[in-house]
Amino acid sequence: MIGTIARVTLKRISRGQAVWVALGISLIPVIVAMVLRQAAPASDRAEFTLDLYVVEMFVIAIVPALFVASSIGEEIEDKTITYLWSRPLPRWHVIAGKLVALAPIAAALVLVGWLLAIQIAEDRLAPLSTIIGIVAASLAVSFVAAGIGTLAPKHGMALTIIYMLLFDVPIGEIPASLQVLSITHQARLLAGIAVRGVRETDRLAPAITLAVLGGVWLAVGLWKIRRTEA
Amino acid sequence: MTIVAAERCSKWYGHVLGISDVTWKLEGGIVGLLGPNGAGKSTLIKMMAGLLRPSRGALTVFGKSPFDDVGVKRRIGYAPEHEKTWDTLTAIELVTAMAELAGVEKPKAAAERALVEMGMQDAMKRRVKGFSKGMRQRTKLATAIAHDPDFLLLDEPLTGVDPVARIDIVERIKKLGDAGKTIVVSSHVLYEIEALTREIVVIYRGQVLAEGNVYEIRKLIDQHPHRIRVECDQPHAIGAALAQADHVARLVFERGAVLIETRDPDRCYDQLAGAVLDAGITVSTLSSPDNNLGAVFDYLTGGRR
Repeated sequence: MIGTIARVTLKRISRGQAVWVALGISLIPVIVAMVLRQAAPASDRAEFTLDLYVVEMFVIAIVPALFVASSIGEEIEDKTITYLWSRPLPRWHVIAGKLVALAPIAAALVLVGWLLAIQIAEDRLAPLSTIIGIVAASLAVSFVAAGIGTLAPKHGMALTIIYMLLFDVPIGEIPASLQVLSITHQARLLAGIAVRGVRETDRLAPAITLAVLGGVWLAVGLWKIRRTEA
Repeated sequence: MTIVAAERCSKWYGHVLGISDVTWKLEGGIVGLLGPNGAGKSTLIKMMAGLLRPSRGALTVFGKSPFDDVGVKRRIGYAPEHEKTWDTLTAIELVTAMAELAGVEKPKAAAERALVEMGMQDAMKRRVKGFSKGMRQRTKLATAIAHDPDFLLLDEPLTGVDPVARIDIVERIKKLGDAGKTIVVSSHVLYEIEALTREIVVIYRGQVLAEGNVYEIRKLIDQHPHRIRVECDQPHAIGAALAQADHVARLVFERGAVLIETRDPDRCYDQLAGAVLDAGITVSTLSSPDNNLGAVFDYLTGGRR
């Protein structure tokens, strides 16, 4: 059942414009990389990772929301979810099917932008730790989008982006205990990208924190979908 | 055998009443749910389809709660009232997915069968996006029957369908009934229900007002003019064809549409179909803004509500 929902979701997304819009957004760091490469002397190349990650945070905030929150939200808002709920399948399959289809696409697009940006700016492959960090962040934001998209289907995409840009990213930049709630901050720790005032620690703690943050939002989505009526 | 059993069943949406204290049993056959818009028909159908949970009381289908028991949905086919569907898919992709989700072993074959049964064999590879209202209704019906359910719930399946397609869809639904399916069809237009079955359940303001044979309610409704709105490319041609008919009380022309008030809807629909075919008129929407049904129900309740 999850496979069927994922397959249909992929088919629908491939025939819409969301993929192209997301691709455009995910390539923004590439453009920034080109500008940085042109503007900065070769000796400053090592600084680019941090600059590019700042841009990448915005991409991570937007791309998964564009796919996951809008897909779940539209399904509920347009009432096409009634087709799914009238079938003999548990409701959580709907969320799971959407995530199985869309979260990897969102992560792949975000990652492509990152790899290209690092390649262009620094003439090298992005370090594995940054790849892991970027992918983990994108997956976690997909879970956030699933939760918010289910809670507020009409404005799921906009609210996810607002949540990420006005809450997650800013608190990640504030050196306070609240930082722990920031997906983009945890992803940065996992990626091993320098954070001011924080010594590099082991990668397990941010990985677990990201899993917990994503898991909480996923649980919210699953809880809500069980109670939602069409 | 009891298919549906509602026991003091109520449903509220916040402060808005959907269904109030309904006790009702459905044993089988084709049953029409009749009531004006907002009467609670769709709420009752959604509860039977397992989309809504009763706020109070109980509703079971085949002895189980359709909201809580996922398994019982294998035996239910549901065609919703709303038009929106997965428009970017083709009809065959949509119905195949629905059959697959219902656990059918060979979903594509089942989907093809269902679409052919609904007269969609020539359009099954086209995207739903470009379908007319009639084709959308047929596709919705195909999604409902693809997994061969025992119990069908069809919410306003004739809304917006042109006269020729209407007759065809009615025949196809009747055939399903003849094949032994239990079918609940909702409409706010008596004449649509009457074409399908004699057994009706009258719903008004969330309550089952009456159930049984259609003749008595029909007598009352016939005293009130029935309105039919036809959106087409030649409204004046339709007007000309019906102007002399003694059952037509009034014709009102609007931009790209004509509103007909008739005292004999059966004859009016027949003549309308004839006029459309003779003059080669393209009808985009046929609807019955039949608010006078509400007046009849008010009369039936004697103003006690």
